[in-house]
Amino acid sequence: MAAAEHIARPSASSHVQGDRRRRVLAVRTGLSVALVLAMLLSLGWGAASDTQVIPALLTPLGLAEASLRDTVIIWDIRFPRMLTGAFVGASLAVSGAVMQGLFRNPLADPGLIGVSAGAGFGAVAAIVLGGLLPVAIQAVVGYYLVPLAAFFGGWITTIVLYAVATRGGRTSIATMLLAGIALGALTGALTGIIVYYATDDQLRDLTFWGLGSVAGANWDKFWTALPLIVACLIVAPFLARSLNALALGEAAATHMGIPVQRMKNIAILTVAGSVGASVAVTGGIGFVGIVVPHLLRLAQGPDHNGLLINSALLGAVMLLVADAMARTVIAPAEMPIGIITAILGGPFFLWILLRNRNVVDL
Amino acid sequence: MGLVCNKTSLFLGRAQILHDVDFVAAAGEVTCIVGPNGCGKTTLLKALTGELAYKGHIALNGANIRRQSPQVLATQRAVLPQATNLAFPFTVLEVVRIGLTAGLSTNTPGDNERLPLDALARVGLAGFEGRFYQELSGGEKQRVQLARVLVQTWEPVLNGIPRWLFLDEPVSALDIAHQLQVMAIARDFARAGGGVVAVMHDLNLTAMFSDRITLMANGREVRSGTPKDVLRNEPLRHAYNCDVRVNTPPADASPWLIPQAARAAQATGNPS
Repeated sequence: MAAAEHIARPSASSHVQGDRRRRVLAVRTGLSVALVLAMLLSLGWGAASDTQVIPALLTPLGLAEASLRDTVIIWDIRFPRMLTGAFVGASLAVSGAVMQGLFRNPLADPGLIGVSAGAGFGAVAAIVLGGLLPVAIQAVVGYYLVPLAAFFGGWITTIVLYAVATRGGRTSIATMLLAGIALGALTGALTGIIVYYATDDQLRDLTFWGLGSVAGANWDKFWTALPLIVACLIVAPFLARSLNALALGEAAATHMGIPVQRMKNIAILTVAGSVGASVAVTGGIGFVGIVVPHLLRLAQGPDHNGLLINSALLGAVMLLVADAMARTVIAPAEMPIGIITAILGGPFFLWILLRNRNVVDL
Repeated sequence: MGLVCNKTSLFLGRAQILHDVDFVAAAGEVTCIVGPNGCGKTTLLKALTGELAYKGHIALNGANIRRQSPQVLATQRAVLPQATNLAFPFTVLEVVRIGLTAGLSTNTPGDNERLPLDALARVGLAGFEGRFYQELSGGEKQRVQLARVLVQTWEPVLNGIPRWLFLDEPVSALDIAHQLQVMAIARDFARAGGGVVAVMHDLNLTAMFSDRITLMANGREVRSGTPKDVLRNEPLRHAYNCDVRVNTPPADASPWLIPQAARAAQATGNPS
């Protein structure tokens, strides 16, 4: 995608033209402030609008005395929900940025190429069929069953996709996208078979889960998903150099000393794990992985050294804001957050496509 | 210290592209690979850089390239491909800076700020730092990539060990002034002790700038040696299947040839 005339010009200040590292820092500072504000918003905004947020926050520390109701709302409902939203948003945005770098295509996204569908299949299978496992295994895996199943679902889909799209060391983007659609349909069908055997209670759970929501977040779910998401957030910045080299092509990256295959394996593994964990907790939340890195490339350029960390920040901010909207649009009821991101992200995705119609060459 | 390639064969699918090719290049020299389209020039270069799997033995600076990690190889040599397209809107400066991160870093932070600018000036693109790569013409893109490659191996000799440039048709997209400029960069790199291996189409430029030439045809080495040795009527006619005439002007003794002679020969029905 070229369309460079739409992209903010590198500024002509005292430093060298074309060097956008200062801009990356400015964006990072702004996003850090925005993230703090979004976290406060997320804590303060909810169905129980009369909650005393600040006193409730300070109560466990003995610095204030809020009602038990308020303390429970803040610490057991809104706090895990806020953290889940922030980490899942960061995870989806960073995974999107890594995938796009890996496939050298700004439209690649874990959701678009069927990885989320694979993770969803794993999670649905675990929810519905988990009870059939021997008690001994259930005791060992416990709460981790759904995230683990989602992880392996996403991982296996990614690897199959990669194998199908890669021939002679070259990954074909067109094949990848088409195979992603086929695999998405296939895993969707398998998911359907399992849903067919679900009980009515499970069905209701699955339906809302499939639309995506952070409403069901609690501390247990948060702690189970956290390690895989944090692993991805820690690993991603170390991939920046390799992803930059990869933008020149796989052969060029190899010539520049990047162990391409090993780096791909690491990237795929961490992305699949992170997306799997996110999908397991919040269901399918689309478009964050495309919209966030794209906005940042417009604002600060595609250098992955700045892109990956800022994607984590903006992804967290966007999901928190979307969640705040989800809570208030039809209050006191809640709208699944996946609907919000799809309503906002779908047109945005189309806009990217239309704007780049001449230059996006699949 | 040099590049040695013994009895190297290469298959793409079932097709054998290279047949027992022998090839040597010395540090301090510009070595050019020439031959008709599809004769295996680029494939040979891809074998020499380790990009494609081959049968045989290839050693760079005395070490088998199969046994060396990409990082160590990237510290010793840089590779310029025929054309490079980017998936994302990088600026020219950002593209050149990517070259800084290649291999085991040998630069100081101060160098890292200065080198990309020096390299861009070297390829005649000073002032292009803030332009978007995707907006450039093919020839400009090629020179940006050359700057990126130069940054990777800026010192032609590192710790007493020569470094190498592998250039795949470095001048094919360039106008004549920039052709001469780029070939001069390659020659200067070699004069300073580095090694240069270039795949070339233009036989006149090859004659002007190379110390050694390998002529290929049908995946085989036809002849190797100095320009005067290789650029002769008979081996060229055999390799290109085209009747060209090599000439030597009295002023400097480098050979040159006139493609028009081939047309004249065909017009008069002269057998080729």
